[in-house]
Amino acid sequence: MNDIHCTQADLSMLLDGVLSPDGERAARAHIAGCTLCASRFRALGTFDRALRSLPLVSVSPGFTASVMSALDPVMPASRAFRFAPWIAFQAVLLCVVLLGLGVCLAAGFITPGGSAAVNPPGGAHELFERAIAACGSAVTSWLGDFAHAGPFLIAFSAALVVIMLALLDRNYARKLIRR
Amino acid sequence: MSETFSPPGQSNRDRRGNRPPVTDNDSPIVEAIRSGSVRSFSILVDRHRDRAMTLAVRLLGERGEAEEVVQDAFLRAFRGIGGFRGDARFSTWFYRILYNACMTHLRGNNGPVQEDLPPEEALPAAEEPGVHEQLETEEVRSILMQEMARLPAAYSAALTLLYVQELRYGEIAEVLSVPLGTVKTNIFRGRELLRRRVLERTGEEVGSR
Repeated sequence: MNDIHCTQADLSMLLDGVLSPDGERAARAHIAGCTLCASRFRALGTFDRALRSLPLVSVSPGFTASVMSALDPVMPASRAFRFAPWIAFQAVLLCVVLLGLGVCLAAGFITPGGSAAVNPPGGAHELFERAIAACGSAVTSWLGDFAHAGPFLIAFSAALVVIMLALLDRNYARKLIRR
Repeated sequence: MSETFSPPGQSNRDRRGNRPPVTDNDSPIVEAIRSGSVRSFSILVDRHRDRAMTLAVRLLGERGEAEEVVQDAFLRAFRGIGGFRGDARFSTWFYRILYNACMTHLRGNNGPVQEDLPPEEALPAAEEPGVHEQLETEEVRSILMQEMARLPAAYSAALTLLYVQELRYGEIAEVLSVPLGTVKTNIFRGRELLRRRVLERTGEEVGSR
């Protein structure tokens, strides 16, 4: 048997299960062969059980009702910001499709009646130039003639609103709507 | 929720005298509250009210004040639940709010927030075993509760969070905002001080000094 007895701190930590695995193994091995430490450990365990068995202090009757009635009904607890990645992804996808459609329409690659593109671009460089020009013409045509570019831009704006809403927690959005 | 909850004011022990178990499963309720179900908050209140009250009474001493502070802590928790990230258990987060509320209350009353802890040599030496048999009698339990109320707040808080809230050492460190080593020390020293005082009052000799 080891002559060095467990300290009270060791026994306390062993009781609470916070000794290192090696420390716990060593302490248990020592206790198994040392009647004094074993008795101290048992005594500590008895005291531990006594502490665990102390009664709780009860709140007054009606406590929960009192707390609930004090809650602000207009301010349900919510996160002010919660990213909804799936909705945001769908909205971004919609934006890309609408933007592409708008560019194609403005560049004359496709026509609203469904006819084939007139004078398709010859290469990537020309396609890029025509796409840039198309973006410019979409803006100017929206300013000049709302009837052509308007629906596309309205849909694009709507998609942006969806993205914004996706970034907001639904409770927060609900709160904004209530206001 | 399939769980049933005892109505307010009802005994917090079952027929065999056991406390209701501490549940770790607050997350679904917290999510429900965050989704707008205000009524779900009453489930959390029912679950934690008596343990919260026990901590507050042990720290503040006075029952009426303790109940006010517990109610205030619940309201703060409700308002702040949007900021609860869920990294820790709800109970850890809530008891931190409660502990801070108790400390603020004590400071407001110029209470003993920073008490002088007993010096190391005042702690008991290990006594001879065989003196603990009486601990489970009602009389000694009453002494134990009285002595618990006399403990310095640092020891009382750590022991209550360990034995009543059933938190782990790391969680206790989070609640009290102290290093883990301080928690270990306070639990060990608090328990030993309490044991010594109880044994002295019950007429037992603290042996082998």
